Amino acid sequence: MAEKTISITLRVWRQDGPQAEGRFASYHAKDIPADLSFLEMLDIVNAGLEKAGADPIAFEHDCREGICGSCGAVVNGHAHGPQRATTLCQLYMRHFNDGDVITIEPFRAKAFPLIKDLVVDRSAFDRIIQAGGYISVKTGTAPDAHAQLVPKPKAEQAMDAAACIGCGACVAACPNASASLFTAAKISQLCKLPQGDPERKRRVSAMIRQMDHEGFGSCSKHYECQAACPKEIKVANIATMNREFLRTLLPGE
Amino acid sequence: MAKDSGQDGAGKFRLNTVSRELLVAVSGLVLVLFILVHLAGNLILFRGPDAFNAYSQHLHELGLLLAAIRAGLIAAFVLHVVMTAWLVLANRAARTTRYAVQRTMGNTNFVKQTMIYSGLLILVFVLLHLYDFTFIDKAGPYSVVEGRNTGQSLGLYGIVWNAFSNPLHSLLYIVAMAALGLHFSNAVSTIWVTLGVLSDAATAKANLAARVLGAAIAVAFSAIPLYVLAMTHLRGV
Repeated sequence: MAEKTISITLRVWRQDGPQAEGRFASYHAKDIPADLSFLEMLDIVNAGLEKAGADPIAFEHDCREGICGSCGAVVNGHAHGPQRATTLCQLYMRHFNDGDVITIEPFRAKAFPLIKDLVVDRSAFDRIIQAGGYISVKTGTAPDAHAQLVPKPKAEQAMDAAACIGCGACVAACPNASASLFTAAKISQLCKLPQGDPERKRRVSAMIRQMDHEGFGSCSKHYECQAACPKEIKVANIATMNREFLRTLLPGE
Repeated sequence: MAKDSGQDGAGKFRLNTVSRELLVAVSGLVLVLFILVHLAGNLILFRGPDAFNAYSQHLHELGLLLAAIRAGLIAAFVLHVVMTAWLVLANRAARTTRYAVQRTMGNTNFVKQTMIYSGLLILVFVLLHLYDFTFIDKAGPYSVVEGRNTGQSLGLYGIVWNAFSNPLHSLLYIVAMAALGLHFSNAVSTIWVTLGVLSDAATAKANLAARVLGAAIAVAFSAIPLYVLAMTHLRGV
């Protein structure tokens, strides 16, 4: 059976380095098998560029299974492309049509400085985690599973928040380049569980302070982050974050 | 790297973005309550000049209480504007390079994207509105309605009547009320997330209620200029 193929034109943001002037470059990708992933399509384009002695398009990737959070670009104006609940590596070329012009841009935010082409520095997220996105425990033998009781709905909420892979699509899609969804997911993942309870007040203040310090915007409730999130993290987490912050204003227990 | 530590801000008190959002939300809620009370007062106009002027009179007889309420409203208004301006400037600075192509994923909308503009329109409107109806001499020549009350002052009722019998004035007022309705509906639907009160599911229901309420206040406020216009311009037809 003949494989279905499409031919497309890419408009890719090319920028040699953080200080360099960026520009769009056009590439024709001919006879791309429709069952390739978006990143595999870029691999083919890059192979062609290398053969021609040109600089390949720099893009980040790791697992290519949609779980590591490494990949990501804004494709035709959508973070991770137009398909919902999907990372860029899990987007397949069959969702595009023959003759399409596809614009590929890096995630744009002041807090995500560009490194090269489509690669941006997302270590601002790491610093938000370092500020409080953890619990302090003495390591040792694992406690019994039933030693700490967690109500089922709380466990579900914590797990849903913990699905965040930190890819940065929420920031990329937000009109304010806000990291509220990411920060809120990390906060609710911990505050819903007994293990996260002792440090909850310090955590929320420190993580919000770091989020602001990195230069992210604030939440205006556009809900674009929730729509762009490959793991379908909900804006309800932002309500949780704000509630956690309000708790810090209450007089101490 | 200058950004390595979050500690360099420690010790220095600085209102974080969430605090600013909360102040915008709380001051906005105060203004929403004010708008509802204001609307209830306005609708007394339909009961005629005596009832309307008596209501205005009663308000002014509150004396110190009225002064306190006004001070509170001015504080809420200024806080709302200043905190929003601070947030918006930071938000603009958070993305210095714009996208060549940016599409919505379908969740934001025109009203959300133009909150700052509807807000600015309301700001300008409030200043004009105070000039038109609050600071004006309520027994002055502008309160006399031609052909009514034998040329005597009709008080605040007369002032409102004269203002809205001008179609341009009425039109500007209705445009401002439309902006208010839109601003109000988005504000009331999103404030619950800011305040951390409702879940996503409950917010979806609050959205519908907020839209209905926003439309209702825009229509109810606009009813007065439409009524005056109809009475002054269509009566003879």
